Amino acid sequence: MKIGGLTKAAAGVQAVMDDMDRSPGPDSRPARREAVEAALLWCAALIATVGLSTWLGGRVEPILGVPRWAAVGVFAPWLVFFGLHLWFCRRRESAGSKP
Amino acid sequence: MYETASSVRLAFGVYIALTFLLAYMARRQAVRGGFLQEFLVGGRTIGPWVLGLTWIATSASGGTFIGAPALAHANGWSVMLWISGYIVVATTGFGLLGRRIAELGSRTGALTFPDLLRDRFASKSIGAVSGVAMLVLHTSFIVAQYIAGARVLEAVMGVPYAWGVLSFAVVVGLYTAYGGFRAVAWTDSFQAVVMLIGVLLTAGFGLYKVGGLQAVYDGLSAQSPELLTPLGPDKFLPLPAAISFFFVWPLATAGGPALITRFLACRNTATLRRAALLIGCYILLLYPAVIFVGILGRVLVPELAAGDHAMPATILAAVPSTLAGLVLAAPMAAIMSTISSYLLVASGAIARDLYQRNVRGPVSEGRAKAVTHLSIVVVGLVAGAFALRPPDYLQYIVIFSGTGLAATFLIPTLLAVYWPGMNRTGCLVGVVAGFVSFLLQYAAYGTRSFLELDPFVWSLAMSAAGCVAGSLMGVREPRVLLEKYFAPEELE
Repeated sequence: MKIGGLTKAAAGVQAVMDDMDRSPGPDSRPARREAVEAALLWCAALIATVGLSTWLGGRVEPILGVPRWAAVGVFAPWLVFFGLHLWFCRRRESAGSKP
Repeated sequence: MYETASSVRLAFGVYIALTFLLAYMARRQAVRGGFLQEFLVGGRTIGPWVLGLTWIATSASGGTFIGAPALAHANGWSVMLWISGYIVVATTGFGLLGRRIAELGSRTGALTFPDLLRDRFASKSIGAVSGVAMLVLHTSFIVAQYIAGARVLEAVMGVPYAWGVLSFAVVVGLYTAYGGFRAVAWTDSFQAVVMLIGVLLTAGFGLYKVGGLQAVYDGLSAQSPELLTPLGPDKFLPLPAAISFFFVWPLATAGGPALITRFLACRNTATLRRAALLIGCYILLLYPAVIFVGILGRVLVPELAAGDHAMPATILAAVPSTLAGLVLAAPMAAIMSTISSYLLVASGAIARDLYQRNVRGPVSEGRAKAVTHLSIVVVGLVAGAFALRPPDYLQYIVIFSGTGLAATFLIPTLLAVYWPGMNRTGCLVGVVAGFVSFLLQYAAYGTRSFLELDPFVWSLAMSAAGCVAGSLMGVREPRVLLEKYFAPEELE
C-alpha cells in the first residue's frame, strides 16, 4: 500500500512539474535565439559542404575507397556538424530553458 | 519480379502483426482527456524516444528508400552531395520551430498546424485555407506512397498492383483510426528501428559481397569514371542544384506541417532536446547508408528491370534469404509510417479545422470520434482510388506536397511565431506569394528556375517579401491578442 501510495504521489509531482514545464510565459526571445543559431549552423554547413566538394571536384582518387571530394567535402563536414549539433542540444539543456 | 523465399513472406507477416500489436498497446496507454487532444497529439505526453523516432519515420518516406537509392544507382557518388543537406536537418528541424511550437501548443491548446495560425491571427479564413491545403496536399502525398508501396510488393512478392494498394489502405487505415496519434507514433518508432536495421544490414552484407569499399570504387570506375565525381553522369548535379538541395532538405523538413504537428505532442522542452540528439545520431547513420546501398547496388546489380528496384534488388542480391524479409520490411516501414502520419494530418484537417472549429456550439465526444474516423476512411478511399488510376498531373502534386507546402508555409509560420509585427494580411499575402510563385516557376521552368536554382529557393524569398509587405500594409493585430504570444517588452 505504502509503495503504491508513494508511486502515486511521485506520479502526481511529475505531472505538476510537466505542467509547469509546459506553461511558460509568452516570451519568444529564447526560442528565437535558438532559431537564429540553427540558421547560422545551416549557412555554415552549406558553405563548407558545397564549397569543399566543388573545390575538390576533380579529386576522385580514393581515400579508403571513397572519392577524395566526398571524404573531405561531405563526410568530414558531416562529422563536424554532428559535433556542433550535439553542442547545440547540450547547450540548450545546460541553459535550463523551459517552454 | 525477383526471386524471393517464403521466409520473406513470413517476415512480412510478423512485421505487420507486430505493428498491430503496438497499435493495440498504444491505445491502452491513452490518457484521459478530450478525444481530439488524445487522437491528434497523443494527449501531449509523448517522450523523447518516441518523438524523435516518429519525427524521422514521418520524414523518411518511400522517396528516401526507393527514390534516393535509385538515383544513387544511376548517378553514383554525386548523390552523396545531393543528400548532404541532411547534415543539418536535425538542427534546423528542431531548432527553427520546435521549441516555439511546443510552447505555443501548450499555451493556446492548438491541436493542428492550421489551429496555430488561425489562433495567432484570430482568423477563420487563415484556418480554413491552411486546413484545405493540408487536406489536398497530404492526400496526394498518400497517393504517391500507396503507389510506391504497391510497386515494391509487386516487384518483391508478385502481389498484383491493385491488391497492393488495397492492402496498404486497409492495414494503415485500420491502425491509424484505432489508436490515433499515439498508435501512429509508437508504430512509427518501431518502423524507424526496422528502417535503420534494414539499411545497415543491407550496406554491411552488400559491402561484404562486393569485397569492400575499394572494390565498390573500382567497380564504379570500370563502369564510368563519372560515377565517382560530384557532378555525376550527364551533369546530374551542377553547382546551383547542389546549393538548391541544401535549401530543400533542411528547410522543407523544418516547414513540413506533418512534422510541425509532432512538436505539439511533446511533453516539454527537455523532451525536444533529447529527441533532437537522438535524431542527429539516427540521420548520421541512416542517410549515408541509404545512398551507399544505391551506389554499391550499381556494382552488385548493374542492370535493373526498373530504376525504382535498386533497393529491393540490392537487398535480394546481398542479404541472405533468412534475413531478407526483415530487411525488405525497411522500405515498407518507411512508406507505412509516412502514410499513417499524413493520414492523421489530413483527417485532422477535416475533423478539427474544417468541422469542429467552424461548428457553432460544443461538439460531443461521440460526434468528434465519428467525424474523425469517417475522415480517415474518406481520405484513405480517395487516395486509394487515385492510386489505382494515378492522374497524369499527380507527380506535380507530389512535388508540391513535398517542397511546395514548406515553400508556402515555412516563412509565414516563422514570422507568425517570432515577429509581433506580422498580421493576418501579411500571413495571407506570404502564403499566396509562396504558393503562386512556386506553382508558376514549376510550370514555366520545371525544377531549374532563375540562376538554375530550384523554385523552392525563390519561393521562400517571395513568401518572405509578401509577409513583410502585407504586414506593413495591413493593420497590426490587437495588443490583447499579441500578449498571448509575446512578452510586453517585445511589443513596445
